[in-house]
Amino acid sequence: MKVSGYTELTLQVNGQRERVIAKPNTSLLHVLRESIGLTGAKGGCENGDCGACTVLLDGQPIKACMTLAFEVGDRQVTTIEGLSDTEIQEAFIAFNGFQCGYCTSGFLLNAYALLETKPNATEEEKKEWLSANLCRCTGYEGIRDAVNDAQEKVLQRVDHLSVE
Amino acid sequence: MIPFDFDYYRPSTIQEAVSLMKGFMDNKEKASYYAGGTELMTNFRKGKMPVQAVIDIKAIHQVHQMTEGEEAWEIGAGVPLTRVIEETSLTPLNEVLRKIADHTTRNALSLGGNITGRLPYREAVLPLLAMEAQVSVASVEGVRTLALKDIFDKRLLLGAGDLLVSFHIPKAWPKTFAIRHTENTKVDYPIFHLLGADLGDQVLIGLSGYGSFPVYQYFDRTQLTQERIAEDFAAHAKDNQRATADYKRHLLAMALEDMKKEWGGSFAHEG
Repeated sequence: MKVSGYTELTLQVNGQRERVIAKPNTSLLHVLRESIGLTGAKGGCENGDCGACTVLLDGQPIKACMTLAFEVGDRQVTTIEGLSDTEIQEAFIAFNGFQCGYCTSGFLLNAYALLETKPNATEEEKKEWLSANLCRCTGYEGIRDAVNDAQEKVLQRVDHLSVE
Repeated sequence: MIPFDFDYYRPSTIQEAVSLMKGFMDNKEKASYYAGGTELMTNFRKGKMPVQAVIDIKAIHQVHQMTEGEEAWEIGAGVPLTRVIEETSLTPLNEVLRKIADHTTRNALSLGGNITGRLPYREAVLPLLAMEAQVSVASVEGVRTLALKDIFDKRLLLGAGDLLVSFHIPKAWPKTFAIRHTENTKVDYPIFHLLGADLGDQVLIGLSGYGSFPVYQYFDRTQLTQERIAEDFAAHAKDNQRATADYKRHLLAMALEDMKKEWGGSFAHEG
């Protein structure tokens, strides 16, 4: 496979097939924001440090600023726009897990992936995963409370499903 | 934005990848193998490493696979650190990998990328040396397997156009000791990272963050003293924006003291 110059690219984003035109040097973050119009993922440091650009690839968090759009292939991309009506979204609202909101989508996606992968995540695991995201407002307490609340609800859902 | 254009290639075989690279080299064009991209994307964006082509090696089976044998693991150079940590029980390696970058970055950052990158740390090389890992390297002539210690001196000594394919890591490993310091937060580059391995007649000491590249040395047990180790590594210590050379020498002395305690109170044959 060779891609040169402006080329059509098909991505699976939030369950939808998206066709865009991009060059090989375009990041996934740029395609999501500028070509598809999903502006939830933010450009922050664009150096892989802040986590504001976090999206999920096949359910696993990655930094979209450090990913070429063409390397995504047929993997499923999930952005914050694909997380409506989830426990984590509701918990962030209920516990004021944001201040300026710039880092919020990254935290939400990372926490969502963690709780879906490891509903019984320990405090250490939560810290390990979420230390990939920075909040310049330092609103970590609300974020921690939101994640803990969402974890309880995810566990209830998982327990409920396992009983059924 | 990356301030220059390049072509993107996604070969599915080793032969295709190394032939592509040879073609670029013959045409005096710059190209780079690309796996996790975590370091390359930063260098591309800063314009530090302009290339005409990127050769994405993730579709190559041998680069992307992990297989457990009776006595060793075969781990593709393009396997992300998270997969190695979660799917193997290679304790000395995983304890070091867990401290590199952050969890999300480790989902992309590859084992091969960590030791072939331009950053001076290449921390994964410390446990890989201690565990007597071998590496498979491909060129247009074919694939060869070498002991990592025979091909790593400051950096991985690959020939022009060579592709690091995989690691062969024995499942039995020696007693190790590791300690890592960062300036402030846990998620940061190391100002000092020591890994010691008890290899019987020899002790391996490897350091990352201490100088401009990882350094390691095998010491005969009969000549092993704390002073000797500190003296042999002293000249490698380098000032950087995170710590002075003197502070790093101090951390080395402290780490050796801790290692000695953990290993039973003395280095063998000392005093």
